[in-house]
Amino acid sequence: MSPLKRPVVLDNDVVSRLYSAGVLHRALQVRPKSNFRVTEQVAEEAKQWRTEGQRLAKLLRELEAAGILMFVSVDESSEVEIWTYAGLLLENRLGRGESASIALACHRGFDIAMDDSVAADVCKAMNPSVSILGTGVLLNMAVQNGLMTQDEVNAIQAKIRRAGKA
Amino acid sequence: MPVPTNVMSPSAATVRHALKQARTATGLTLKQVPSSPTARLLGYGKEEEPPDIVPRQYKYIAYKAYEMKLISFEKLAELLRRNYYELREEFEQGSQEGDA
Repeated sequence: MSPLKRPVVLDNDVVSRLYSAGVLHRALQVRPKSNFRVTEQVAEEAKQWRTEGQRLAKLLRELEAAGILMFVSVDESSEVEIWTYAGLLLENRLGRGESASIALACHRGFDIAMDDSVAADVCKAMNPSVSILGTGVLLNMAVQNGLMTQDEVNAIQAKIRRAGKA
Repeated sequence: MPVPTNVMSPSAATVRHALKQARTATGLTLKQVPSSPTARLLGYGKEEEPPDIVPRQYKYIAYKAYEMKLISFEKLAELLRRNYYELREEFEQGSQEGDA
């Protein structure tokens, strides 16, 4: 069962790792419908991937159509949201996707799925009430929900560990 | 919720300083980056494989900033003007080759 109740914003690193492992669709079925969010910045970056961008963008659209995720944008009419997003960009430490994901999570009561430790630290400092999940947590939830086997998850996690810091 | 402004400032200042140094060292000003309308008019970026326009010293400093955890991987990709997913693939391939 999913231990979390709030919508989860997916960042680039989690999307790319799950997609590269070929389990993006299955792993996202752990949550109730429409409980994942992907920012337009993350979706745009995915589209620009020369080799896989078209397929990944298509898969994201299919997941949206299936009600598994929703695309979201920074709300320009929300002063706090746009201010947080702009502030993060001006700090020059995070990318556009991470900045948007954190701004949304902090102000809309979402949790966030990201693996980057720098981005996670920034998010924690901004709003400690946002839960930060890694790819490993999502994979383990998929096992608990019977969507994947433990062997599959072990193989993916071993590959992630081999990839090191990237 | 108020946004704490003092949490990241020292590191951000370090990054800005490093980037400024890189630009000074290479003599590259923002006006010279071939992504401007004039540069596009002159044909930059029209090739299928865009030329590598990021100076080596700039890349080095950006990578050091990433290694020192001053910036995220996504920011590194932006500074290097690379697609996040492609850069990650390269890093992962590099790590696996290193293991072999």
